[in-house]
Amino acid sequence: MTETNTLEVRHLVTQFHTRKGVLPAVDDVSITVPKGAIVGIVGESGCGKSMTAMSIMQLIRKPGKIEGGEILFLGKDLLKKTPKEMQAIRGDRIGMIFQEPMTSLNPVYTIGHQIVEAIRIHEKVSREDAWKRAVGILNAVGVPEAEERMKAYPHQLSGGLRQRVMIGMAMVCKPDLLIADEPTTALDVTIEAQILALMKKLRDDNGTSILLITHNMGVVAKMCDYVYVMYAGKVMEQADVFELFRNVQHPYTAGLLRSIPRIDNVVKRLYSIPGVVPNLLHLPEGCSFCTRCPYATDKCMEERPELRDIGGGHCVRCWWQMSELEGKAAQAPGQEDGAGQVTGQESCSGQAPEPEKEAGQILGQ
Amino acid sequence: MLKKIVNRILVSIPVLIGVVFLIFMMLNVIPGNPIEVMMKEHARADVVKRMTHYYGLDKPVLTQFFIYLKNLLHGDLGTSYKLNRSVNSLIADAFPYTLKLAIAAALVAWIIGIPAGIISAIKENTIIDRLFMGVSLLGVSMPVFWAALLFQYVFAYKLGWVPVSGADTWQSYILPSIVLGWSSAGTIARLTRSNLLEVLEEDYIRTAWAKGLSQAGVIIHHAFKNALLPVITMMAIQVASLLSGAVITETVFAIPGIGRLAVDAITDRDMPLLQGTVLFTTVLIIAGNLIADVLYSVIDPRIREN
Repeated sequence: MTETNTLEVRHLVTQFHTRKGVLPAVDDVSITVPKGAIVGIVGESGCGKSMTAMSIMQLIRKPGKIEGGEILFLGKDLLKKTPKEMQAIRGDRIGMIFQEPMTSLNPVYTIGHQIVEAIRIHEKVSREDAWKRAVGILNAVGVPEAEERMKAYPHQLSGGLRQRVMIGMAMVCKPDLLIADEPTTALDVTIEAQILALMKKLRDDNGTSILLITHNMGVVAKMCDYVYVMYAGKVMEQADVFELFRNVQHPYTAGLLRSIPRIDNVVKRLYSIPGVVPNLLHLPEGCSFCTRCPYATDKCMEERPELRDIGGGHCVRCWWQMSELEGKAAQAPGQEDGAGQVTGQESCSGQAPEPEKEAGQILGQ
Repeated sequence: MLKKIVNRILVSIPVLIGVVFLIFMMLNVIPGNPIEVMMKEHARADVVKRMTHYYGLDKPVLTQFFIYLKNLLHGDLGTSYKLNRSVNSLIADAFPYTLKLAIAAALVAWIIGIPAGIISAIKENTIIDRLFMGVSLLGVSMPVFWAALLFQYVFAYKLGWVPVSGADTWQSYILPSIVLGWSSAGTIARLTRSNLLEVLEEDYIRTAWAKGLSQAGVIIHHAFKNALLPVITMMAIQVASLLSGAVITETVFAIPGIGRLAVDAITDRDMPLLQGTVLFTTVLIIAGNLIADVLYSVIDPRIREN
């Protein structure tokens, strides 16, 4: 652990013990958030990205349980803290905002009351001083007429304003780390851009590290310095954001990238990765993505690949090199509708060798 | 806010008139002359006729209704056939007993019901939860007369801790208020638990945890106030119905309250008294609902604005 990292998650395992079996929601995940960086976790719904965030906050509820690993925050393992110590860290050193700004504020208290509470949980300040600070933070997060809004109830504000309030509330104690769990998913795109710009500004002004969880590759491209791509509880690929977009290595990441609508590439239908995130109770024996991967081979279905470093901090959990896969795909007979092609280098990546794809589907069933 | 309350009261007036009309008509379609029933078979025909005329029972039903309504608007509930006293004074005499019992029972219900519900929700699916919910279910489902007799037998007759019945000392209220309160407490505990469990799933509760609040802070400050809304309605209705007289409990424990009055009125076919007690109950229930609505607005700003 070096002092340059705000957060280092090492080999985190979080499982849900259900009647049907053990669900590995977070499976051996390691994530590093350097000081002042914005690090993204990206993946589809159910890939474990939110569970990773909730594990860091230790807000996993039964039947979920953190089974192993370390969560080093400023060099100290959060998993070794007592519940009381963890309480003191939550909301003070680590702030968190959520996907649903419409429902994340308590409807029966005013905005002011809720921000003042956030301050006074952690700091011994008078109500008046806390109130002044709350007005200050609302101004800082761009809530107009902050004095007035303090007395407003959540339902009197728009979604965008509520998310600003949430961000203000999370930032009011000047945390070292802000965890943003899909902060803009519920907002429309213009508001999304404003909120993202606000988060970036807060990072620049305060040096707060941000762990940004999203399913939106566009948000990743705009915001992040470093990215982790998660699938079925595991990190599939991780890289510097420029490296990832330039040199995508995992077929899953490639699929996510192809699913972004692009203004310069008119297609009839937007690409989507076929199938759904597999049931964590019945993961394939081999690579967890093999049931949906267009390139899956016998090896993929039988053996579980490890995360391997391909240089420059770019790691990928796949048996193959993208260049090999593309070569294979180019030879495959038959062409799908080439919808959603993103980059020239993976122009033919929509198809899989037919027999293997069938095998994958059988396994998936 | 005030406007809203006034509005609600104004809306209640047609409801009340409707209720008066319905009660009046229903009691009047019961066959037989109440005077005859009251005087039994010894009555001479001419006496019955004179009495019937005296009470205006020989007039058409609608005329009777309007006379009743007119008197009602003057605050006069009529005169009891049986006791030959004004219904107003009978209710006024009986109400203090019912009030004392209602307050005691409501206190038992809230002091036990709400904490039991909160603890059950926090300890969901543990032995404590099961125990509390089992006892609540017992309270809700056990017939009051049976619980009353059982309690009388054990605590009054066998152990001799409290009087069997009557309303002379404060000790006489212990058993009836526990019997009454238990069943209300059961309802409140179950409602509190289920609402709290629902609210604890809300996004803003997650936010409260993420702020660094303690469990007590999250539950008492953030969850309880939201979970309280339906419980308050229940409490207001319960108090209203307790105030209108716990018919069975008052009868079993021989407490001369509103409930007893109503039972006596039914047995004696004492129409004015019965109408009076039923009307009194109606007003209390309407008032209870009104108070619940006002409390709702106080707690939830979203309701306040609509």
